[in-house]
Amino acid sequence: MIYIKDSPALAGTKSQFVIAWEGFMAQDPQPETAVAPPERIPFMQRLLDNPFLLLFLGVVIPTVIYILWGVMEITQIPLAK
Amino acid sequence: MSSVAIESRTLGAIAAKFRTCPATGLKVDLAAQALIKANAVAAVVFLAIGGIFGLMVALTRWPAVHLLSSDMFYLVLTAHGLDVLLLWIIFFEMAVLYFASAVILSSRIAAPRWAWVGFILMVIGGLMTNVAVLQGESTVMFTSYPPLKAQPHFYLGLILFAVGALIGCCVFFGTLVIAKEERTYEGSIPLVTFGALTAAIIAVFTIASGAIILIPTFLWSVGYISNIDTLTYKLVWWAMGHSSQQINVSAHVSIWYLIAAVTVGAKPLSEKVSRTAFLMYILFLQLASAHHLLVEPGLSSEWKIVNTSYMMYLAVMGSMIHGMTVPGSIEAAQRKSGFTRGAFEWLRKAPWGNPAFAGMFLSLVMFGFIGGISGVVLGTEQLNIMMHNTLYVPGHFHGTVVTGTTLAFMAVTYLVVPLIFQREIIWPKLARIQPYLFGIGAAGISMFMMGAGTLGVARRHWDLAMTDAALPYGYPPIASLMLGLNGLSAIMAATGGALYVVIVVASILFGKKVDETNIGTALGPMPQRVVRDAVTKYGNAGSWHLPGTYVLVTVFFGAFVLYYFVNWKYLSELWPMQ
Amino acid sequence: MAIHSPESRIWWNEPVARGELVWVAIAFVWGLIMFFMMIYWHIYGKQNLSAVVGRVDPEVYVGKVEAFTEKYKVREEGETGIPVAKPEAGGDAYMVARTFEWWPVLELEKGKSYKLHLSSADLQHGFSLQPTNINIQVHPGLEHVVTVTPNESGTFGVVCNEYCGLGHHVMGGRIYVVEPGQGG
Repeated sequence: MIYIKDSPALAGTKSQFVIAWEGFMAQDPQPETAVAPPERIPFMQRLLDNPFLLLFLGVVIPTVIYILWGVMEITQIPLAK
Repeated sequence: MSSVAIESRTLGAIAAKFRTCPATGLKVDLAAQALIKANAVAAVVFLAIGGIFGLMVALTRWPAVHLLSSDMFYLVLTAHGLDVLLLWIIFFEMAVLYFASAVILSSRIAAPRWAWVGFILMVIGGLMTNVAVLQGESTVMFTSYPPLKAQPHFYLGLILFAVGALIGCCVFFGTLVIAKEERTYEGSIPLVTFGALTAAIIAVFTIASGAIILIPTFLWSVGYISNIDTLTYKLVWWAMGHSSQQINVSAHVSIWYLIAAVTVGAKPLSEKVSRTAFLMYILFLQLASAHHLLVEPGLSSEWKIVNTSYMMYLAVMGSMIHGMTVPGSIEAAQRKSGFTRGAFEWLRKAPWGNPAFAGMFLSLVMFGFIGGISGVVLGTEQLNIMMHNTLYVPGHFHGTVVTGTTLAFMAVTYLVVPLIFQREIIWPKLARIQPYLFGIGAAGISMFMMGAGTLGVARRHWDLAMTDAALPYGYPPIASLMLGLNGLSAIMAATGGALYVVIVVASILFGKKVDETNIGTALGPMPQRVVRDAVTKYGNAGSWHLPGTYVLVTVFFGAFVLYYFVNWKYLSELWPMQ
Repeated sequence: MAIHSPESRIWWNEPVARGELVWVAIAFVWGLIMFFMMIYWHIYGKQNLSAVVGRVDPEVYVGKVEAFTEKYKVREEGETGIPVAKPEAGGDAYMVARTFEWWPVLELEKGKSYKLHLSSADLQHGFSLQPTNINIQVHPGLEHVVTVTPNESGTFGVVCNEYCGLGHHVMGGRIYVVEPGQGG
């Protein structure tokens, strides 16, 4: 997608986008789309379908519970009597 | 290869060349294919080297043989850990990540040049660390606990290797983005790819932890830093050392699903349940790094209990779920193929002559019964007092990493060679017995080391008799027997391992080329008539009736509960302490 | 198929077979049991690792062990010249780990409690008491105080079970446990 300007295949993209935008702004409900609205995807499935959110959770949880909590305890070891 | 279509897909300046897999209809990016080949070959080379070292370790532990001198034993043990626990496994995992992203999603691979940079860094790093160890000045074990100090290039090699692997993970994530943008698949990613995603996420945490601790340690080894806190090192090091083995678990569970799908046409019982099980891995599996710090002074019991239990054993629940859904999906598929008599016809008539299936099922059973149960017991805060740093620990992780991961990786190789290298497996009769030879040998290694560990025998210890010690301790004679049996098992496993390396290398070099005329036979015996049937979708999940699987998981659960409480009984007999 | 995308777009709402749900429930409950077992043992069990620990300079610690040994020395161990110290019941006992020995030898009385101090003078070591099989990690700079109550008499070996260099396998120590009022 970096080379979007060089791509003849995508040359018409902008005008299609404008058409779509105008259609959206017109707020003219089309009967076809009203009949079959896209079914809402449950929250858990959206979570499982999002690799970067999972990556975030999979790194942050062990960093906090294992590493940060552990390092805090190590720094709080008192001097021996 | 005239019959295989080579297709180019062009997007702006980016061009990728594809071929169509004759077995699955998947489009295979040739750049990804080359990367999978390179990583798999590097993996097998390090397995061969590390495996020889492992055999030498086992033969030295066998008191009647006592092969190596003490200096050589510790050196070889350090190299064995590095080569098989890190290099073999992570190179193979890179191949798995590229396969599960680019090939399974029929996508072009992201930034193949970067993937090659990563690969080259990993090779240089791996070789550098090996050289450091073999030079003899870095006999610090795989764990390299300070203040024990290795040569700087020991740490530098590991850092380069980690950076290379991190690049590989980025390529994997990039490929997921490309496949989604270019709509190479509909809806959610396949379960096998989701399992690989789990592995990649854990890999990012693993590698980042490794970098956080190894970079200062490297600076300490060259003299820029005066002191490394021993406990902090250990805490962060194990976030790498243990989590790297959790990458394995995610990768090999994913491979179980893959092999079950290709060999018997198994379909996940429930996407929701299997993916939730992987989610438990993503969130909590890394916490088990605490297993290595349970008898450490300076960390509270609260920290130990929360972490060692993977947050109330939710990740263990994940493993128990996979342990049921994988055989369950095989049973369901086999029953659909007509193997419906009794509780176990599906299992008896499974393709045991197919090394991919046999290796996978042995891996599944032994990972659960040997590696899994012992891991939970070993990772229980108080029970660890009886086991920490005894041979029970290597016994346990040979149950997970060898009978579990390595065997699963070997099994999937019998599919990767025809599918990616496009070669038939040479000597199929030898390949048939290979998983049994290796698997049973590795199970022996694991069980006999755990047996010796239960008797208190120290790990990483050259001399059971402590001959030259001023105050020696004599272990009970049965410990010698255990270590002898461990040696015999190691010979068996090494034979199986050598057979694997020879079969794979010979097949890649001299195997018959594979195209759509012989892909069916190249994938090994299948219960279905033709492969194309095995990989097409059929029917709805419907209502499963899986009596065989229920019997298997009941036996497993009984063994688990029994062994767990037996160990508490042993613990209650120790000297009271607080 | 695990290598294909899920057949239905919204797979999260698909029903799950009962057998599978039962197994998930069993695994969850079993996990809770194992979790609370560790907490239960902290309250009612007798074998829990001590949380008493402090930072100490390794040289200072060696000084403490030497002073302890001088005060409580009762004899030497055979021909090795290693002192045997017999601390007071209920009192402190010290042991230092260093390449490659556990020093000094201790003599304890059965059924009596001792505050056993463990630390290292140099590298990490592993305190492995055999054959009773108690294993505790020992760090340089950390003084760990474990209260132990020997429940059987006899001669116990202390093996180092953390790799500590090329002489690791000769690193041994000893603890004698005698009946109360005996030994010395």
